[in-house]
Amino acid sequence: MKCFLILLLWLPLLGLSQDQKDIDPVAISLIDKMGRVIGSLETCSFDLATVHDEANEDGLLERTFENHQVYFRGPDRMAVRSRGGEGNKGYWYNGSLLTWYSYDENNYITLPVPETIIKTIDSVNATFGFRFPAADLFYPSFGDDIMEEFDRVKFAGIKKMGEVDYFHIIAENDTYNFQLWIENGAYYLPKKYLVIRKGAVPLIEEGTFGNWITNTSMPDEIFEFTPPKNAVLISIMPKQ
Amino acid sequence: MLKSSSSLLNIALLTLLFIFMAPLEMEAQRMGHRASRGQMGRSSMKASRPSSQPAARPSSRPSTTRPSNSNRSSINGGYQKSTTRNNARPSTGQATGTRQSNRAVTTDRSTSKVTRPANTRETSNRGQGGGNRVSDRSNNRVNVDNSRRGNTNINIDNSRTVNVNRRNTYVRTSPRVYVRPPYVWGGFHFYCHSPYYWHPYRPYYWGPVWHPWGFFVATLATTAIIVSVTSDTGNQEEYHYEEGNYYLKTEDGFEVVQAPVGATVQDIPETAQKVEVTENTYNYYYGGAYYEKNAEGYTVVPATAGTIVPHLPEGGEEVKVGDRTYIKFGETYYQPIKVDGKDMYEIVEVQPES
Repeated sequence: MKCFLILLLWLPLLGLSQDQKDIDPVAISLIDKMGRVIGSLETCSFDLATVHDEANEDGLLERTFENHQVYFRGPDRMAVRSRGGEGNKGYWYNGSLLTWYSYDENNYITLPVPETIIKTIDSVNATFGFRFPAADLFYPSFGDDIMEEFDRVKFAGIKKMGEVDYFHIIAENDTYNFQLWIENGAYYLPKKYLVIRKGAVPLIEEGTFGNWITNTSMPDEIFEFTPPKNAVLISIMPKQ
Repeated sequence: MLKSSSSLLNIALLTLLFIFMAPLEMEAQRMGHRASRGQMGRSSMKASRPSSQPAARPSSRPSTTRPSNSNRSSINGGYQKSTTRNNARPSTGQATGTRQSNRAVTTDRSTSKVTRPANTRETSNRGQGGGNRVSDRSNNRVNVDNSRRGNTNINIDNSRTVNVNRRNTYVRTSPRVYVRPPYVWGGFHFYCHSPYYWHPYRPYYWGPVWHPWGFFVATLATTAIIVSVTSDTGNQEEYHYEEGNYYLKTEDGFEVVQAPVGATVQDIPETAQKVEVTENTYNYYYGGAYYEKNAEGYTVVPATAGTIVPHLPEGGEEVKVGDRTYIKFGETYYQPIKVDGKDMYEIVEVQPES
């Protein structure tokens, strides 16, 4: 009986642990649906306009605008072309090699990488700090990641942008506020995301998707890099 | 008998309690942190943006559901959900993997070398330098052909093998205080007095009498003099000097090498440039070597961080360090800069993060 009483004493604490998070099942089911759609795609391409804040070399907060064109062909092809405040550059991934090329500097880096898009993004980000726009949304465990990382996840209603309706989801923890707009249409594809890093001066990162093309034919050539004339293969220093 | 009934009652109550508690514990487990790629949330935005947050997460992951007919052609391998999520819905939208994985035949392409600065400062570098043998430079080729291996993992070569004779390329600390914050990457601070301004690295040639490192001649002019330098190991090394070039004897002739630190010559070419080290201290710069003038002539000295030079010789290795591209000679990093509209280079002071 003593044992039973001890367990009864623990019961409120167990209940408390459940209350630490406030997860809206509607929000999660919308994220899951978007994730299942993305996970079912064999090819896709989209445009992405990003905005982000970062301290510059002089320690001043600087807002940078970039435009990206992204091409995925599962499971092992990717091409990204980026233009904007962080330079004119591109990535080509052909299933075994990833090439980063700077149009501004006419130099490139080629690295042997893992065999899938996600593993490659993961690997070169962790090792070399390469950044891929909106990569978070393409992780197969995106829904789980959201639930794991944020204390509150809420469906904030259907919002209009232009003439289109979007499901608006807001997630928050002590450090970040994350917002996502998913198209209220047949495909449930993401339209916009916003990340606010909390602080005395909040830092934002925003991305707006456009021109989604799904399950179309993408030839190998898109994902092969051919060094331009006089392009220089350079070395790289890992970030870790 | 009474005691036995009481025990049975206890067992029954405990069983009931566990039955009611089970969903609560599962819920708590669901919300617990787990291993992730650090893409979103507290420790996150790594792939999308750089993050200064440490990726401190538990290493275990709960099992995840996968469609029975996993879509191999999916762009991300198919959506996955933790099995412990009690609001999970049956997966309905997984496309079947009908397409064969279309792996292209990969061509044998050169890959980039992965490099890091030495983690130690000038004193220890001195001990690592061998002679100025030309063969030492073989590791300094930018386009190292790491022919494809079976292993597709990123092959990180963290060994510090880039030896353009470190003894002659280590950097002395800048006597001036740095006002600008360092550029931080890979566990190192890269200090410079001038802002980074990229311009292409085009090796410079100091006229017809100057030869790049590795240049071979069968014979030397009679005007060449012999310069002896005591190596770090105490051995006496013999160089042949002529018109700003240092040669080492080989089986077939002589090869141009880097100027050995400590060598003293009476004259250096007139095209040597005076470069400022501090407000009242100057070096003479010629062919990638730095000289200090003294009573005996000109003595080859190591580069001093913060020194600005207009040109770099052949043999530099371009290295992408974060968002920057430096030119590296052994352990000397040069940052491209602009001074009064002219493309120049500043010697970077590289310090390991403390």
